[in-house]
Amino acid sequence: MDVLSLLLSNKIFLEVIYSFIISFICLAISFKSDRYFRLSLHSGLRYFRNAFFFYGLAFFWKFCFAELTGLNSFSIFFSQFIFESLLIMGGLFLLYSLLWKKFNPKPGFSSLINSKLIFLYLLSLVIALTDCLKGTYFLLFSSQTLIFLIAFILVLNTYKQKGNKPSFLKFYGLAIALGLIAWILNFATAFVFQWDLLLLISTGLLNIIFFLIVLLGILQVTNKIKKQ
Amino acid sequence: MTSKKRERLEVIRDILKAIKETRKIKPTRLLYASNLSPQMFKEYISELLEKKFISLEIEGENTKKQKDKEKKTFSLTKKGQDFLQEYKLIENFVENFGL
Repeated sequence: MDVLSLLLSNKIFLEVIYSFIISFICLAISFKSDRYFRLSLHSGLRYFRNAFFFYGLAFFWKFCFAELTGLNSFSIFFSQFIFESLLIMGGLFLLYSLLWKKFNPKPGFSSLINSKLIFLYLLSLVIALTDCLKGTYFLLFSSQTLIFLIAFILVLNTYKQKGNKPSFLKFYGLAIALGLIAWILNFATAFVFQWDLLLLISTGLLNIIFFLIVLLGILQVTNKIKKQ
Repeated sequence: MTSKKRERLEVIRDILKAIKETRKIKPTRLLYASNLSPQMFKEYISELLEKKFISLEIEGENTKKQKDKEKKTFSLTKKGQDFLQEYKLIENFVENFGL
């Protein structure tokens, strides 16, 4: 019990473990979706893979450099800027994976850089820079909340429109709803509850569940058919 | 009779399947088999060529006089075969994540 309370009181240790778990899950999601993207060159799969690639990079960065925040103001600024930019890119790609058909992209676009995606990169850099200069997470939390809210509505709409309901789509909607709750909780923890540790841990757990549902979903939908 | 609009992936599968069945197929025969308008057919074929799912072979001399005698055929590449083999999984992935 003492060991547990000691672990809980060590915020940096918790952050390192949390970042490691999420970056590992995201890496698995990226690998799995990359395989199907390479087979089909389907744009939705491309942006979906990119989303979890950026989420993975963000948490891998946090995993490697969580200690940096204890050094000086420049290292805090730099660490937060990279982390936020990657995280926002992840969110924007996730949203774009559900929206890409509306922008009618021509085939053959590069996976990570093209004229439309540059706008997303610029947007994430501006949001991250503004937050870092102000020393707050306000824009990160609000933009991610908005992204997850729109993503949730889009998935819900797709689910309603599909005649033959795909079995996992409702769980993907549920995962996005959990992600949305996690971002709202993040916002509340930062601006209402002064970074309350228990709330932070709950938010972290919700985030882990979100990424786990996505990973398990991919494993389920790509294994089911193989057995037939 | 009710007919459901085919999804993009389904159209690609149908085109690739039609090519696979005959190994080599002429553009006009493929157009009929794909059940698309000529304009849509052209778009899909350019996409499939660009993605290297299919290849275009031209037999005969490429002179102005001989142009009519040119024999164009489409055939499936290794990439196209891989796509067909894993089509169900790809479709399942795309459908279940609303992509």
